Parts: sequence; C-alpha cells; structure tokens
Amino acid sequence: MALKKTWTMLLALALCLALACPAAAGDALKIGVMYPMSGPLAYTGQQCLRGAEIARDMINEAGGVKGKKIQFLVGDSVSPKDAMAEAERLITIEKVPVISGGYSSSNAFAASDVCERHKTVFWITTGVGDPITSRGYKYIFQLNTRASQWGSTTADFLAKMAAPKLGIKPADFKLALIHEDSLFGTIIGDSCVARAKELGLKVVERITYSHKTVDLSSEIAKLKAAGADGIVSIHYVNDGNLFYGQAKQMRLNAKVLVGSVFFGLNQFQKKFGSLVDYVCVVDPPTRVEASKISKPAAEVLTEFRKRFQAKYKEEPGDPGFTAFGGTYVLLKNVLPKAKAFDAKSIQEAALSLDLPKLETPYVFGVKFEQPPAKTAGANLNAFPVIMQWQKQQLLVVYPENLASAPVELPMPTWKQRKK
Amino acid sequence: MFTQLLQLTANGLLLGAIYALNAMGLTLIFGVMEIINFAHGEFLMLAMYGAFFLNVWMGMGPYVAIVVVVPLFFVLGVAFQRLMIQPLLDSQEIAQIFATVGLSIVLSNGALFFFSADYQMVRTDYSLESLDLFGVYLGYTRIFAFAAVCMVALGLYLFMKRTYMGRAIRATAQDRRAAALMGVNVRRVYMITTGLGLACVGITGSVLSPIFSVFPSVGTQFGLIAFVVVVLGGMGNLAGAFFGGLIIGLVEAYSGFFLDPALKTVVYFVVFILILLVKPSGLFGSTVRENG
Repeated sequence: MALKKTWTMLLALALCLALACPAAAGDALKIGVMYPMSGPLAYTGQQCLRGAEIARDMINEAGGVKGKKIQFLVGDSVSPKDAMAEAERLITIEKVPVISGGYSSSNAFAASDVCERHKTVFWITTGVGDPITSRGYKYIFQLNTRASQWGSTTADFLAKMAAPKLGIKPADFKLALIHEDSLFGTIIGDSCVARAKELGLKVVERITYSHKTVDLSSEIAKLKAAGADGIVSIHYVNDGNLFYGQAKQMRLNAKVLVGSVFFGLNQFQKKFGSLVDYVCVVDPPTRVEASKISKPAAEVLTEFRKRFQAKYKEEPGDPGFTAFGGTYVLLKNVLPKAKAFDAKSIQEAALSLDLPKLETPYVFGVKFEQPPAKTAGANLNAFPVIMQWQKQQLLVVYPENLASAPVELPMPTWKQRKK
Repeated sequence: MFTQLLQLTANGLLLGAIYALNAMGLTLIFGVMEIINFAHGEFLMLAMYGAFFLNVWMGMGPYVAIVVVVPLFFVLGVAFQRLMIQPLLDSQEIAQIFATVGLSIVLSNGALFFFSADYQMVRTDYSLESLDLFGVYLGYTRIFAFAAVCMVALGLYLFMKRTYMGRAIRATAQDRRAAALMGVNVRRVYMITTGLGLACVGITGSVLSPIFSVFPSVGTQFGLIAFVVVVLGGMGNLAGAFFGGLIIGLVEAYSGFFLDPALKTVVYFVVFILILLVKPSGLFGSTVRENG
C-alpha cells in the first residue's frame, strides 16, 4: 500500500515537472500575440491578427529574425479581465519575452500591469489610450498615436480647416460630441473638448453611451436638439453602424461629421454606398499616398496591401494596417537589434529606435519617450490624420502636407442626398 | 418640443415592441415549465443568422423569411424541450440553470467558430428609410417590427383563450398534476409551449435582422433586456411581457433624452427594482400559474 502511494506520488511529481518545463526551444522564436478573437470586438481583433500574420509571413519568407522563424502564440483578450489572464498565461506558462497586440485600449491597459510586473515587453500595436503610457512603466511600448492626439487633431481640423471652409468663425462654430464610454472614447472626447475650447469653438453637447448598446435613438434625438454645426462621433464598429443608420432614419444633419473606426472601414462603404460621401474619419494615416512616404516603406506597404487583398478579398482597414505596421517594426527593426531573445534586450532595442515620420510602412515614425519620464513608452513620432470619403474613396484631407485632396464641405442634408 | 415628445414616444414604443416580442417567448417557457432559459438571447442570435443566410443565399426579404424561420424554430423548440428540458424538469434548479447557461456558451461560441466574428447586415431597399409623419420620423423596419409584434400578441392571445391547446397550456401552467388528471397530455403541452416560445424568437430575429447587425454575441444584450421585461411583467404572464416591453422601451427613450443617455440602462433597472419592491410578482402578477 505504501509502495503504491509512493509510486503514485512519484508519477504525479514527474508529470508536474514535465508540464512545468518550458517547451523545447526548437528553431522558432515564439512571441505572444494578443487581440480580441471573440466577443463584441472580435471583428477588429480578427482584422488585426490578419495584418500581424502578414507581417510575420513577410519577415519569415525573407529569412526570419537572425535566421530563425517567428511563431505566434495567440491570446484572446475579449475583455480587460481576459486580457490580464491571457497575458499571465503567455508570460508564465509559454514564457514569451514579448507580447504584441493590445486592442482595445481598456484591454491593453489591464494587461500592461501584468506585463510590467513580470518585466515582459508589451508591444502595443493598436491600443491608443494615454493612461497606458502615463505611469512611468519601462516595458510598455505604445506604437499607435495616443487617443489624446486623435481628439486634439480632430479639434484642430474643425477649427483650422472645416470652419473656414464653411465660412463660420471658430467662435461661432457649434460642436457636439457623442462617444462610447470606454477608455478609447472618453480620452478622445476629453482631449477634443479641451482643444476645442482652447481654439475657441463652442461645445454645445457631449453624450456618452456604451458601445454594446442596441439603440441610439435617444442620443440622436438629443443631438438633433443641440443643433450643432459639427458632430464628432467616437465609436467602434457596431455602434458606428447603428449611429449612422439611425442618424439617417431620424434625419440628423450636420455640416461636418467626423467619426472613428467604423467610418474608416470598407464595411461602412459596403453598407451605405454613396451615402458615405462627405463623412470624415480620424484614423492613423492608413491612406497617405505612397508618393508621400519613403520608397522602401512604400514598397513594403504595397506588398502588404497586395497580400491582404489576395488572401481576404478586401482592402485592409485601419485595424489590419496598424497591426501590420506595428508587428513589422517589431520583427524588422527591434528583434534583430536585440542582443538576445529576452525581455531586457528587446526593451533596450526598442528604446534605441529612431525611425523618422513617413519612413515606416506604418507611415508614422517610431521613437519612444525614454524612462524615467512618466510617459515612457509613448511613440513621439506617431500622428493621426483626418480622411474624408469622396466618391466612395477614402482620401486624406488633413494635415495639408499629407492631403490627397481638399476637403469637401458642407455635408449635404439627408433630404438633399435623396436626389 | 411637442414634436420631440412625439418622436421620443414613437421611438420608445417601436423599440419596446421588439423587447416585448423577445420577452414573450421567454415568459411562455417559464410560465409553463418554470425553466429559465438562459440561452434565450443566443436563440435570438441564431434566428437573426437564419434570416441573414436566407437573405444572402436565397434573396429572401426578412419578412418573407419569417415563413421559413418560424416553423424551423418551432421544431427547434420542440427538440430543445425534448432533449434538454424534459430530462431536467425534475432536477434541481441549479442543474437547469447550468444546462441552459452552458447551452448559451456553446451556441455563441459555435456561431463565432462557424460564422466568424464579422458583422453581417441584411440589406434591403427600405432598411434606412423612414416615414415622415408630421415631423416625427419612424423607420420602416421598426414599423414592420411593431406590426409583427402586435399580430403575434393578438395571435397568442386568441390561441390561449380560444383553442383547446391554449387552454391545455394554461391548465398545465396552473397545476400540472391536475391538468394531467383532466386528460391533458402534459408532455405534448411542454413541447408545444417551447416550440411556440422559440417561434416567437424566430419572428423577433427575422424582424430584427434589417435593423441591427448580426454577430455571435448580439444575443447577450437582448437576452438581458428580455429577463428584465419578463420579471417586470410577471414571470409567465404574456400580457405582462407585452406591456413590460413597451414600458421599458418608453423609459429608455425618455430617460435617455431628459436625463443622460449614459444612464438609460441604470434608469430602467431602477424602475424595475422599484416596481418589484412594490409588487414582487411583477406588474401583472402571475395569472398563468397559481400554484407550483
């Protein structure tokens, strides 16, 4: 009896040890990749992973990193809670030195604590919330333009380009905001309002809602009552779709409308056809013309677009584009530079990056704020642009030096569109 | 101002009707079998996908799709009752809860696996059009949904009051043993009730498909509201579900405008709690069941 017990315990111990041992190194470099693959943000998460995978394939085909192929270990960050659990799993069980990803901001924010605690590099390709890089963390890198820039750029666009085009003085320009209430929407809302006030615009209404909502009719009724000249709507995909459809049904009009995420997707054009014309969107510079960026970067970008189109039969949207760009920079510019495949070396390589604007397939540059600054890890060379749908094509209209076409305003009313 | 009030009332009623239809299916099942179907929202999601695929593969408009979806979901309901609910009827409540919660997880993740996370939309010529009634805009898709709900409510009412099966269902809900003693085939009643409940969901899904995007987790939010409406109106009470849904829709519309849209959900939950404190059995009490 005692012998049987001993054997059982030895067997159990052996099993535990076997499970605890990290997987054999093999010839692949494993990095963690985390996006929402299920739940309400699954569509964008899936698009991000597609972009990231193309970056990995392009690098692997060119010989990989220091001769080794890159392998993705994917985590599903549906919600902040799941993001933390998945990060914990990737770090402690899969033992990855770097996790790439991080859509959305709230999820990335939650996971960043886990990564910093374990001193693992978190390479956030998509999450834009400022609080992510406002705590002096040393292992968290935020590639994308921060949400506050989205907000202030939108306000700049309205005051410096839209208002003059409409013949309205900034002081007379009435602005209404509607935004979803997670980190993403709130920070953009805050920064847009703050900058708008600095520039003298009149903020007449600010409405928040949950992006999981099934109905926006009350919100739209309030916007109608506000009678604004310009409306800024910060939404994700489903709520963006709901917003525009109900805006049409309830005849919500504005002279200029700036949106986010959904308004920059092909889905938007597929659903609304010619009704998308004149709508503006604030986004990373996904559609800056190839002629305006450096040649090597333009070539990579063209290759990316070609592969995405061939594989998925559609143009990559912003999520795919930003995930691709961020992953590409990690695999091309950071990992090869790292002295070894561990978190500390990767962190040092990342901090030493100095890629100017318009010289990466990302379009913006990569140069991080150095620790011990409070905003260490923020990308100083990132910036958003304003695009507008014209004849069902998305064109950059602001800032002027990157514009493909002048902005067309005012937006026609729904009645006028009916013609 | 008056136009605004009319618009809000219209919005509230149109939205509330959708909530009502969804809840009627749920309350029917609960009233007769005392089973809380936590997978209700996911069945709605499946109905929406059904209408979507019929539209994409066979060009069927969502209202024509009802003709196909309803019998399909009736059969699905019967199968669901026979395979999942019947064996659990006499088990502990916790087993019943776990079973339907488990089913909801399987359905929503199954949908994610088979249909992918892409947002799908049923596009019709009138999806984005609205009727202009003296300055009040009513989306056509919502008007049709409202009409569908009223017809279903009336149909169910007549069915329950005038047909043998309707009376049998009510009898079973009141006292299943007494009903059996009176010659009612209780098992068949259960299957038909679940079939009817899911047929309601089928109609809801079909009329919802041109209004709202279809994706694997669309059922969650609607499922939650269905529960609120069912408890508010009185579990098992069809009239309660109908009027409860309309009330929730109106409360949402008004509070969203006069208070703060961000507080919409909070307000109707507060109203819900207040009503339950005053009348725990729900607004209309429970007239379908009298004793367990």
